[in-house]
Amino acid sequence: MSARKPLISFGGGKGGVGKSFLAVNAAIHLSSIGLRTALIDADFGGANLHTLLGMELPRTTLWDYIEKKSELSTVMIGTSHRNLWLGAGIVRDFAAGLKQFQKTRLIKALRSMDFDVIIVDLGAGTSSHVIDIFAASDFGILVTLPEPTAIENCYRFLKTAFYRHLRGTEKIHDAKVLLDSTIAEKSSQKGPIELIGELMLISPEAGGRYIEELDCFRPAIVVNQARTVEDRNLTQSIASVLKRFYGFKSWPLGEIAYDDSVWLSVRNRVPLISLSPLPDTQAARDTSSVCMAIGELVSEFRTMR
Amino acid sequence: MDSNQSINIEASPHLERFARMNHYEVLDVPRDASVEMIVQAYRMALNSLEPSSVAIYSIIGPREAAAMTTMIELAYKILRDPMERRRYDRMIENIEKGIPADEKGDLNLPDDGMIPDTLQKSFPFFAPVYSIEQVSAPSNSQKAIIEHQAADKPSDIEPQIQTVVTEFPSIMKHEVEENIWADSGASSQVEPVEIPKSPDAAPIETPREIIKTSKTAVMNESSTTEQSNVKSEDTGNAELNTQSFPEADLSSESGVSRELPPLENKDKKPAESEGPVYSGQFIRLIRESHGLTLDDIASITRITKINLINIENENFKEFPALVYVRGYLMQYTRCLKLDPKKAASSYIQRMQELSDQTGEKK
Repeated sequence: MSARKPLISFGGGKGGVGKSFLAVNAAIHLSSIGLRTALIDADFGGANLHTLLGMELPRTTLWDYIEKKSELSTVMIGTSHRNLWLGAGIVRDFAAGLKQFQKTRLIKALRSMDFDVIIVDLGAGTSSHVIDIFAASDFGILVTLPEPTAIENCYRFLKTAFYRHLRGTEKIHDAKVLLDSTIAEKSSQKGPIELIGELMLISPEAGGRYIEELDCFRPAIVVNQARTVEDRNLTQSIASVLKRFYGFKSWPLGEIAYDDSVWLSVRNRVPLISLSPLPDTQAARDTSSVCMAIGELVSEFRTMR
Repeated sequence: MDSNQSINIEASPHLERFARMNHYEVLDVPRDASVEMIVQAYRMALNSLEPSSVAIYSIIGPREAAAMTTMIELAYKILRDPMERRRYDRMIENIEKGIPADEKGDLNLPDDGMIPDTLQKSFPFFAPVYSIEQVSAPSNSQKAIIEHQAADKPSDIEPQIQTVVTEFPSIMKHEVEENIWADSGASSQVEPVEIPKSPDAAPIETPREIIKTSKTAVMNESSTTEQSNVKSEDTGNAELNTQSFPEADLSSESGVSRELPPLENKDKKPAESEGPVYSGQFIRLIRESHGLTLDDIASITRITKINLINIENENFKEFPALVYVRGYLMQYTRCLKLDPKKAASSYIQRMQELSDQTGEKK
C-alpha cells in the first residue's frame, strides 16, 4: 500500500498573520526533504504565492481549472525548487468565492492528485470555501498573532471549522437538520463540548459519534510575530485553552519571533527557509523549527496505516 | 470592570463543566500522572488563565478565569501532596464504585462530631471547627481537645486560642461587634489545626517534608522565595496546611511568575481585588470539587444542613443575624481550605449588594 497523502491547509481568521509566508516555507522544507509537494494558492481574493516564490505572473492558474474545466494536475507549474509545484492563485479580478459544486470538485481533485503532500494556502476570513477546505484537511494549520483580535478570530474560526467538519461527517438527513438547528441556536453561547452535550440528550447515538469527531479534530497552532517573553509560550497556552474549553486536542507547533528577516525575505521575494546559509536571526531559526515540526507531522502521517 | 459582576454559573457553561470535574480533570492530567506532570500541567494552566493572558481572550472573562484558577490551585494542592492525593484517589474510586457517602470511611465521622485521630492527623483541614452553640457550651471532649491543642502549641499562640474560646459567649450577649469575628478569622491560622504528635503514628510527612518533596519536583528559578517559604514553616509548623488559599504560597513555590494579589488590607474589601466572588454557587463548586456532600460539611462543622443549603442557594431571607452568617461562612469555607475571612467578606458584600438592588435589605 502506498503512503497516505496528507492534505495540509493554512488558515486563520485574520489577514496578514503570515499564512502565505509559512505555507511557502513549509512547502519548500517538505520538497527539500524529498517529498513531491503541491502548493495550492486558494486565496482567491489575494493570491500571491507566486510573488513569495519569486516567480513571474504564471501562465496557468487555478482559474483554468475552475472555469475552463482543465484537470487540476495540468495547471500545476514547476518552480525553481526541486519537487515543488505551484497551483497559482487567480490573479484576475474575480469575485472571491466558489460555488458549492466547484468547492466539492476542488476538494476531490486535491485529494486525487499524484503528489506526496498537498499544501493549500487559504485566504483570510471564514468564507465557506476556506472553512470547508480547512475542515476537510488532514492537518489544518492555524496561524495567529499574539493579539486579542487575532486570537478571537482564531477561536471563532476553529469553532466554525469544527462544526463544518461535524456537518461533513453526518450522513443522516434528520441528524443533519438537528445539528444545523442546534448550531444556529446555541453555538454563539456554547462551546463544542456543551453543544455535543445537548445533542447527546436528543440523540445519544449521534452525540457519541460527535465525541469521536471531537477527538479527531486536531488543528495545529503557530503564533507568528512573537515579541515578548510571554509570547514564547503562547501556542502552548492556546493549546491548553482549546483543550480545556473546546475539547480540541491540538498540535502546538511553536512561535516565530518578530524581526526583520521575515520581512526582508518577503521583500526580496526569496523564501526565508531557502536562504543558504540561514540568516542568524531568531525568526529564521523559529521558521525552520516550525517547518521541521510540520515535516514530522507529515512523515508520521505517511507511515500511519 | 463592574465590581458587582459575579459568576453566574448558568451563564458560564465552562464553569459548570469545571465544577463536575475531579482534580485530575481540572489539571488535565491522567490519573497516574507523575509529580512532574502535575507540576507542569499546573503551571501551564496558570499561565494560560492568568489575567494578562491573551490566550483566554474572547473565551472567558477575568472572573471566570479567577474562579478556575482557584479550582486549579485547589486541585494542585491536593495532588502534589502524596498523602492527600492517596486519600483523594481512594475517595474518587469509592465514588466511581458507587459506594454511598456514609460508607466512604474517611468521612464517616462518629456521632459526637469529633474527628477521628487518624483522619485528623492525615488531613488537618478536617480539624474541628466550632459552631456557636458548641463554643458557648463546649462538651467535655471538646474541652479536652482544646486543652490538648493549647498545650501542644508554642506559648505565644495560646492566648489567641483562649480568646477564641472565651469570646464567643460575649458575642452572644452583645449581639454585634463584627470585628471579633474578623479577629477569630485572623487567628484561624493557628486555630485547632495542629497535628497532634503521637509517637506511634504512621510515617506522616510533616509540612516541611511535604515542602521538600514538592521542591524536588518544582524546577524553581527563584530560590529566595523558596527559602523564605521554608523559613515561615519553621516559625509555625501547622501553617502550610492552613494557609489561606489563592495567596502567595502556591505560586511562589512553583516558581510561576505571576502577579500576586496584594496582601489583604483590612480597609480594603476583597471583592474589589482580583479574586473570585465567593458566591453561594462558587462555594458549592469548591465543595463539590472536594467531593464533599452537604452532610459531610454538616457533620464536620456542625452547621445545620438547612443553613448550608441557604448559604449555597443564597436564600438571604432565611438567614439568621449577620453575625451568625459570617461565622457559618468562615467555618464552612475554612473546611473547604479557602481563606475564611476573605470568603466571608466577599460573600457578605455580595449579599448586601444584591439585597440593596432588590430592596430587601434586612
